[in-house]
Amino acid sequence: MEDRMSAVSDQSGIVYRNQKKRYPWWVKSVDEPTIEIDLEKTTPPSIYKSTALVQRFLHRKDYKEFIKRFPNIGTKRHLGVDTLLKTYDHREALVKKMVQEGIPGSTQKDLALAYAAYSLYYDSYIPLEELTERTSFENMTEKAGVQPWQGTPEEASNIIEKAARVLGAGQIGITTVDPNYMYPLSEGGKNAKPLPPEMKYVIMIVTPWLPEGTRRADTGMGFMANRVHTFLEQITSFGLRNFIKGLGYSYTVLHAPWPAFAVISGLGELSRVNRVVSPIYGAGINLYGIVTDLPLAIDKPIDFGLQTFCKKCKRCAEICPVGVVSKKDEPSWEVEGEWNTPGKKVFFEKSKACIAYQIKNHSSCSLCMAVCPWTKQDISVIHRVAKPLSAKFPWAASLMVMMDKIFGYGPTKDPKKLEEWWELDLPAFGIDTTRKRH
Amino acid sequence: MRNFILGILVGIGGSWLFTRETPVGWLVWLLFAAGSVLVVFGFDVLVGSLKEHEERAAWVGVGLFGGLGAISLVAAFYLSI
Repeated sequence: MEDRMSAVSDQSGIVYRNQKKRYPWWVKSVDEPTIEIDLEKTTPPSIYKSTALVQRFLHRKDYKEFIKRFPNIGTKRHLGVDTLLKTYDHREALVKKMVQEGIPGSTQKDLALAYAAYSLYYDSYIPLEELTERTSFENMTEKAGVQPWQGTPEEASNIIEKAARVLGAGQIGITTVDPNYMYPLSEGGKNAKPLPPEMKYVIMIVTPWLPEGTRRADTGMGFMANRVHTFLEQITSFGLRNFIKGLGYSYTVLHAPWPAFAVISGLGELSRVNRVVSPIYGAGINLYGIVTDLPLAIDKPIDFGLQTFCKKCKRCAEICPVGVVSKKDEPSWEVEGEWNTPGKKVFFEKSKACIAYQIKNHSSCSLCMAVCPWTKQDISVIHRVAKPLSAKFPWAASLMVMMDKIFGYGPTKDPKKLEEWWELDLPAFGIDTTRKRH
Repeated sequence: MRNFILGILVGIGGSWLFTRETPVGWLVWLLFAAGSVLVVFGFDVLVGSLKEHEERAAWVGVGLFGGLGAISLVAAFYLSI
């Protein structure tokens, strides 16, 4: 029962955290990720080929200028600049129509909140050092004139986790830098430098989505939910970076596809959507990666039966309006496009159609994430029965999915429900981060 | 408070069965135990799902689990008299 052991050192001197405290009993700690990986078949991931990058800039005022400035990265690479500009115009007209006509879920107040939640998102790709310098920040270590904080790796991981939680994270996972999963240095911008050897610890932060927004997916309210977590992500990661600095250590943003490191650090498993699903928060999570030289005790990947569960479930594939999610029975090594990184046996997604749909409909869509049976609030006792059952008997996923449908879980576009959101009494950020873990 | 009240009610039901003049059989105790668990479970699903704003889950849950539990309790009651 290695996963129940206290922190242990392996041969390379890396110390593991006590995995027992991380999850309920039905989440197993494992040595390798639950998907098949073949490094012989892989190519380095590329941020330029990713469909995600340009989403970060979708709502900048100078978006059109931005599209023209970098014609061959991310979404633009796949959709083409002309198509993207046309889609953008269509979306502008759609927003106007929705607000003027008061379409439920996308009314003036709904979208005003969505854009407000988006306001910090603009800063996502501002060099973070610059962002830090811009703010008034007191570096405790410098101020006190002392050496950097000293403690064991376990103690360091503990204080990082506690700080991250109090700053807004739902969960953190810790691992080490793996060159196999990093973006090329050439894609890191003009000031990019190789990571020094001591910068080897990766902290992955999870910020959960607010469930009451997520279930209103593919509307303005769902868009708002999708942006609130990025709002929180920015605050949390900004605070945590300053905490690391205040301890006397260095940090940089993890220049890699964050889901890979989320899987390695045991924050979840890769799902049919080819995104990370957390056993605690389900598919509605956002990730952020920081690299630091603060020596930390690291985590292991996890197994809660998702690979078998996803083969049987297919709810995400059924609900996708543009057929992005694979409906195949088995995962494959064959990629769907250059946005996918080969070398892993998974359900690859048709991201191009996904991004086009999101831009055109001015929503973050997220129907696949909202409908995932793991995306639950865990207040009702039934989830505390259903999740262990699904984890331990994933071959019975069809039964769980049938019950999920009978109970009526999943996204809603009921106008009454959409409007009802404004009557709900929700916690800060709409998220209960004291989710049942045991 | 909710669990306290449910506990009291289950305790009253159990005491009533225990103090019957003719001792009740194992089947009655089994039905009573299963019924009690299902009713408490159904009630928790009802309250929890309403807190989650999942109205349909609330009523399906109480109907399914609470209903089965009520049938078991009624059966236990009839078998004990």
